[in-house]
Amino acid sequence: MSGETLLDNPLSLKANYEALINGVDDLIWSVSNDFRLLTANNAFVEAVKIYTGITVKPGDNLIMRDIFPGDYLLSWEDAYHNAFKGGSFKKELYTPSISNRPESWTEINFNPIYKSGEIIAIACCSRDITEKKFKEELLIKSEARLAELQAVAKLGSWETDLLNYSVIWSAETFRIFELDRSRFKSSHPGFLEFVHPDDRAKVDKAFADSLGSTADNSIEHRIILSNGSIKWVDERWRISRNDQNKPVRAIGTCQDITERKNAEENLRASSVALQNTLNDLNKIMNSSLDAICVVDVNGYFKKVSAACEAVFGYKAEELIGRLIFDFVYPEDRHKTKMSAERVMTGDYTPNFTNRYVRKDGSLVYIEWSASWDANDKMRYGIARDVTYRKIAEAHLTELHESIRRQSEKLLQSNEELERFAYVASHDLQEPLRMVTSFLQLLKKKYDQQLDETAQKYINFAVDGANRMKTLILDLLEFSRISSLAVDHTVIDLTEVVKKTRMVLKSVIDESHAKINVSVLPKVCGNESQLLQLFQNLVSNAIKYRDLSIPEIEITYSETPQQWQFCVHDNGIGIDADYHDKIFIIFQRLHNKKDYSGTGIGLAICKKIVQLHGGNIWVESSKGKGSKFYFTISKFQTSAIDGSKLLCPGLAVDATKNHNEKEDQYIINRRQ
Amino acid sequence: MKKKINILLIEDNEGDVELIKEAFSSDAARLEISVIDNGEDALLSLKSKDRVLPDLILLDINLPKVDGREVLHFVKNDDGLKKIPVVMLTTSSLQKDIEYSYNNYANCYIVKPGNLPDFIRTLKSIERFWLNCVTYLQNS
Repeated sequence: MSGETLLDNPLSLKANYEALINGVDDLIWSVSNDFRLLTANNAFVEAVKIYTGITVKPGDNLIMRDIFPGDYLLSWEDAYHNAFKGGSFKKELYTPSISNRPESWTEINFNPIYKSGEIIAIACCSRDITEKKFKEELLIKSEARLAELQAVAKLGSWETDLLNYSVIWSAETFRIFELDRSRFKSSHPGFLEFVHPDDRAKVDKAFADSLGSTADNSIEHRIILSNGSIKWVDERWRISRNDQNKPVRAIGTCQDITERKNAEENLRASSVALQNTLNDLNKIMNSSLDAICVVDVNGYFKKVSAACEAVFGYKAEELIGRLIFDFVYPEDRHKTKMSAERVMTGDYTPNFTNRYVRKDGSLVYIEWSASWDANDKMRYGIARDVTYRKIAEAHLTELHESIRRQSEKLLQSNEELERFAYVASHDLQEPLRMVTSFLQLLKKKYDQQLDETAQKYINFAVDGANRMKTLILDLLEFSRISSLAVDHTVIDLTEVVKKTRMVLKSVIDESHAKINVSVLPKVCGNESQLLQLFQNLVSNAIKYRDLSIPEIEITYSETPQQWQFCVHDNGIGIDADYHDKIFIIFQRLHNKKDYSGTGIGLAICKKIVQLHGGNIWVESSKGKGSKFYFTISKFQTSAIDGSKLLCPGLAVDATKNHNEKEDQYIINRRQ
Repeated sequence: MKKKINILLIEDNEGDVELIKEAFSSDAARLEISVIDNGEDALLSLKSKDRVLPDLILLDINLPKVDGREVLHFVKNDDGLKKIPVVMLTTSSLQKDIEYSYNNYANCYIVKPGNLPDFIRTLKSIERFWLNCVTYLQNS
């Protein structure tokens, strides 16, 4: 068949066109510039009839205002107008539900028809795209839902084309990477740039391994964001293969698990810390020398530390589960029970002490520090072995007691001794007085009858009795010094020396003695004793003189602890052999014809100096005068606790800023 | 005849009794010295109904049975006796004895001198003062 023949026949051409346009489902029509129908195919006429019930004919106005809503018609008018302006375009048009017809979408092609360069009509072709539209809408909705779900789950998705390694990321994946779409290279290497260098090898291996596997794959790794911060992600993917089983595509998810990882890390760190603390506690508990015990509400050992073996004599496993009272020494059980009850009221009860029977049967003294935890109903106790202390305490108490008894005895014997010396010297005087008095009475009454020898004998007897009396008086004096309880006050020694001069006035005048004395300090002491001390030393210095006029010098020096005085004379001096002996009671160096005295003076001096916390000694040699040194302590020994106290008043005096009021301060010195 | 002055000597030491009598011997004519050698008898004598009140009591402290302190205390607390001067004559020079005596209204406290001349002088002084001065004033 020849086409040219067919086309030469105008009738057959028309029939041909009509067959063409009526053979399709699409609506085809043309419209004039006043919106009247020019030509249409059957599908168009059929469609209009369905909506309107009218069989439309060429020349009918297509803007059917009484049938279609205005909005709908307006979009048609707009489209026609645009087409008449010379546009050739496609337009998707929504048709609402009209005349019980369902809503629909159509796609319409508008094409102007020209004649002599002028648009005389518009040719339109409309196709129903409702189904496609709905599918699109569903897709959009499901994508939006997916994106939302991804955001909620912080779960992004990705797809890698394994032929060219291009990558598609979902919005959530971008959000996880905190990356703008434009800044991503959209390739696998582009993704790898974000992987933490330490995890890179791991990621590469996992990805490479997955290519040969049919299973699902997963990996957790870190990524470094462009701002430098680090995130943890969980990637899961599977590989698609083509017919030749060649991997072509990887599709997967990417979840931000930073929070979980951090939480895990924190948990791990805190559990490590907890474990460390527990370990430390255990170490501390087990290295404690005291046994640490946890005892339940019924009194059973729940936990004990390593020291329990040393303290109680039992191993931990021998104690745990046993009743604590079973180990308490029976005599102490009652008070232990009382104490335990008090602990369980919440009272803090330190220093409770009781005794336990150790495994070897020995007793151990335990000092407890216990507390009660009302929540877990446990008693927590620290048990300290104080056996040695208790023994030491007992020894100490014993020692104290024996010292007390001894000092009592000593005190008693001291008192007895003093009483003895006193009574003896008194009672000794009685018969002496009788001897003397009756010898004298004998002499007086029988003067005429006695011859010269008898007189002489009587004189000897009286003289002997007198000397004995002096000795007894001296002894009495000596014992009185040591037995006298004296108050110590601040004494101005310059005044004491003045008084000494007065007492010794006759001796000084008689011997023309010169006494040179500087201003002496104030000391803490007993005035009458100090007066006697100076009196004895000065009178000795005068008494033991040679033919020259006695010259006596009294000087002093001081240290922070004591005063040191020196009484220096130009007398007969003392041989070095006797320097110690002279301070012994009744020790005499000289015949009483030359120098009278009983030998008590220096013994008394020594005693007085000792009572003032000092010492006395002499530097001398025969014929060269003597230097008697003595010291007086600046401190007093407390009678209460034996501690040394600076004499009140002297502290001020020592800084040369003496206050008279201090002199009134009296220290009561007990004996 | 003038009434004799009555001295009560409470003293256990015979030697002292002898010496005291010796000391008063020059005035023996006007003195009557009664001697009791222990405190118990002294109290009995002083308490008896037919007692002759002494003009002066010389009292030792350390006496057998009842001592001089008790005797002093009794005398100075008895309305009929307390005006009698009591001179403590003793060997004790203990401070507590001196204090006790004066606290219990002893009129004088004398420590017996150790040699005869002093002893005699002291007792003469006692006699002069307590018997010549004080008694005279009491009687007037």
